[in-house]
Amino acid sequence: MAIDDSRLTPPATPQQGPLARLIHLLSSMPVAVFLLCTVALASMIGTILVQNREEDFYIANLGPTWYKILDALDFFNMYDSWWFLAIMTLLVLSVSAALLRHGPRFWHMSRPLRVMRPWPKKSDGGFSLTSPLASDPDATKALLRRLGFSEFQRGEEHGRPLLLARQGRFSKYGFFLVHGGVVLICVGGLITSQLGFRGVMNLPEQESDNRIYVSEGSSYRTLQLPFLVRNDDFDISFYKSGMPSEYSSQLTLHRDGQDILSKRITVNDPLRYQGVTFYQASFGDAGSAVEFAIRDLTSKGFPEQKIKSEVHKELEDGMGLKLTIKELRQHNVMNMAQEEGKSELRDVGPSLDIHFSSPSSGNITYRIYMSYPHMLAFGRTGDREMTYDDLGFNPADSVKMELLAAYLDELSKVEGERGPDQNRAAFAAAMTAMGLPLSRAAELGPAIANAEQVLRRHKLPMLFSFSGFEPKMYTGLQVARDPGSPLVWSACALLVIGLYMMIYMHEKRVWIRFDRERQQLEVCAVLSGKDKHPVNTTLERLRRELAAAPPIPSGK
Amino acid sequence: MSVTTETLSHEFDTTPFLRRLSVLDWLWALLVVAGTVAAHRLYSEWMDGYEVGILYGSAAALVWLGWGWKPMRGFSVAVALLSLAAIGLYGGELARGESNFFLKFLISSQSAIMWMSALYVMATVTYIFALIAGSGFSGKVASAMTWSASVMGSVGLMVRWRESYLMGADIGHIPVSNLYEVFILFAVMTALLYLTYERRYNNRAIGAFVLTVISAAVGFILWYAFEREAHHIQPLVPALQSYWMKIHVPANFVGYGAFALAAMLGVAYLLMERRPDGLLARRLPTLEVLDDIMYKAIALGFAFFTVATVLGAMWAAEAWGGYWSWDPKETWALIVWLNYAAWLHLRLTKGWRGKPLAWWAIVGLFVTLFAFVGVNMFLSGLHSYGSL
Repeated sequence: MAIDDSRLTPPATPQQGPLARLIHLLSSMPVAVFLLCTVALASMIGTILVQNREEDFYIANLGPTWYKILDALDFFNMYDSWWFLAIMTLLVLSVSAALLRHGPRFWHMSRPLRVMRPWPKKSDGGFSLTSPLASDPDATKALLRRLGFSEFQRGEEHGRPLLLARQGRFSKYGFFLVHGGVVLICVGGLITSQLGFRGVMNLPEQESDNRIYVSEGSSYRTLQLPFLVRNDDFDISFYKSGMPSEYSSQLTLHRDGQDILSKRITVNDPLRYQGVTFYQASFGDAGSAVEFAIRDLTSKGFPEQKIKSEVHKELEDGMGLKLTIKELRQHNVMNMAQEEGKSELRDVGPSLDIHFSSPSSGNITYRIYMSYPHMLAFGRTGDREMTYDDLGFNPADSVKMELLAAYLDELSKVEGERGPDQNRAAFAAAMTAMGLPLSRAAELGPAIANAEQVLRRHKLPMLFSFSGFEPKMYTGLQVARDPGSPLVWSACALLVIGLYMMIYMHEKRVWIRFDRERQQLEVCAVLSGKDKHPVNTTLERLRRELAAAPPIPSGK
Repeated sequence: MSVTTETLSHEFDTTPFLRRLSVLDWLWALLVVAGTVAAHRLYSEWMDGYEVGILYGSAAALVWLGWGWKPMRGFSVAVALLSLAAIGLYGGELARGESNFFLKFLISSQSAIMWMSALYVMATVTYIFALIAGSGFSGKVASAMTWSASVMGSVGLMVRWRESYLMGADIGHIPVSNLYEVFILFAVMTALLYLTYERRYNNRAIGAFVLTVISAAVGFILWYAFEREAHHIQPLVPALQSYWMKIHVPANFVGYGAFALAAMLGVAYLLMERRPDGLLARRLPTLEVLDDIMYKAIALGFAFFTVATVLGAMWAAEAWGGYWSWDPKETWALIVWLNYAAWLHLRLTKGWRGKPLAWWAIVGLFVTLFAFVGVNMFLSGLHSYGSL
């Protein structure tokens, strides 16, 4: 009988024509491994070099020359750069070429076993042993079936029976699933990037909008949805430590005055409508209304001015003085424990950060606490931490503030040395000037003296007191349309199933020759693939089973 | 070949799987199911549909693991009993962790983790001694220590889970949310993976290598706890409050554990290959077997790492609105994946074996390590809650 194994393993496609040669080159293992490593190394760059920052940041860190070179090569937005996409494309082409090159052969190998194949010229192992099964191919076949072999062919060689058994017919499908899966994931990614979008939308409470800002490198473009999104309510809750524990928004989609859909979204629970998904991404202040009072310590009598404004607003007096309302915090959790290492958390209530700047006093950031108006907290440019002090009373207390102003005024008139006597005299003069009875001196004196010390220590141009606020939050939404994702998820499933098949399924073929006269069985096995280890286990199992087979009853 | 066919005999048992199961196996299944149903009934108000699915899915996986790998049964029962004892002793009051003797010195999560650390380090020393002295008894002691350490580590995580709920109902979460917790998971996972191979190949010499990497992890855990006070339970940021964490993180750590194991086998391979007649050659399995275990570990790790990365992408799609953002952690996951994909191609298709792949597996551990710790230490991004 002619020895021919070509039906199961036909020779690789012969090289003909430039296309076949290109496929051969792209799918070759050195090219494939080289591409895998190149993509890995190239992706590293973007994790080390911070992406998509503003020009100044890069110039400050890298210098103008390097900035120009790297910017010209798109290194600051490298995952969208032509060269990175080119490497990725090459990798996908290489995987596709492997599918084209090996696909037909593997497909061929996965066909059912229809005809008998002769004893192989070269096997991956084998043995022979004496067994009563040598005269019973049917029993041997049953035994092999029990071992997981599912396809059989019977034949003859020099008048002796020959049995071929195969298992793992579908194992090569793993190759298609994994490599096809990788290609499809990349195709899905391409669909997402070409036909989808991903942008942000910051929506204040009770407001509607349909504009989405999509980032493009370091700039933005605007997209408009065919319907409007309204933020009905934004809600946030906090842990005891002051960290946000959950935030959510009640969103309503509407068009032409008609509500379409409404849902409360949280960080891991988005809203989906017509292929567009709204994710709860962040939150912020949309201009909360705040009320506070200013005491101008640079003017005579420390005049008070009441202000109603909004967070993020800037106030100017036209003479270089500027106030910026930076941040409203509704909760300020502080560790009140005296002992180090202990923790005793307490919420000290709302605070407002106001940034002050004037040509004469420089830049100062004040933090004013609503529940602790007598506390002074401020930081000047360059300070690493805030300075805290206690004024002793609320700057909104007109009697004390005006008395303090008068007292400082009197003190400034003192000539020569200043001592307790001069202080007392100045205080009495101030009391009189303010029309206050001297009987209150014992009550007011220490407070004013302390406040004078505090002001002298810090030389602040202004004092603030925070009296009220009405929060207005915006919800930060991530809005995305991702038409590629169904394909990506299906492809991921294929990839995972295929991977399991490639690793744990093997195509094994076993030939058994039956020698009735000598009660001998001769066995050999062929395993497809380069890893021959599993064949040893199979052969060892087979040897044991065949050796342990009971003698055939004499009646047979 | 130092691997006798006897030790592999279970692989050649051809009785159908279900008929091979003993009464004990069915009792085991019953126990797991009963425990799961009890947990479900007790805590159903805290779980959403996905989490109930994960609960029963893990129960099925545990039954299957216990059937396929018998020591898993005793291990799980020990972990369950000790964890339940700790939960009972706490009885709803976190302060008892300081006042109750057993909690304070044995099974409060922090004490259990300290026991785990001590036992892993002792096991490492004992494995090395057993390797040098060729003492079979010491080897068995080392195995017992590794088992005990893994029990204590798992108890530590279980009890920590409970403690987080005792701190406040809104704080409670599965302890796989920061670098400290996942390092414990990493140590336990690597050790358990190693123990399966130890039993399968009846060879304890590999333990000296694998436990070394676990001891290094323990060193990090101790430094992190004592220097940085990282052992305090922290509440979760909103992005992490999802059932995805319960599957994404553990799947990742089967992968990381398997890669670490493979790298240490690579080290063993290279040392043994240098001196074919040396001490290691007498104690370790043959080079072919080492090479084969290394392949099996990487294949297993790769399968789990792929699943974990896909789950991560699905979570990202759910929470951040995009399955892939080239965030440093994502990118490094891709780099790790590509690295082992290249490894597998070279072995399965190109037919490479031995030395170059052993080196590659060792380099792979450093790549993995960077993805796992380095990204959090040196790079910023969306996974910053794992930062040092």
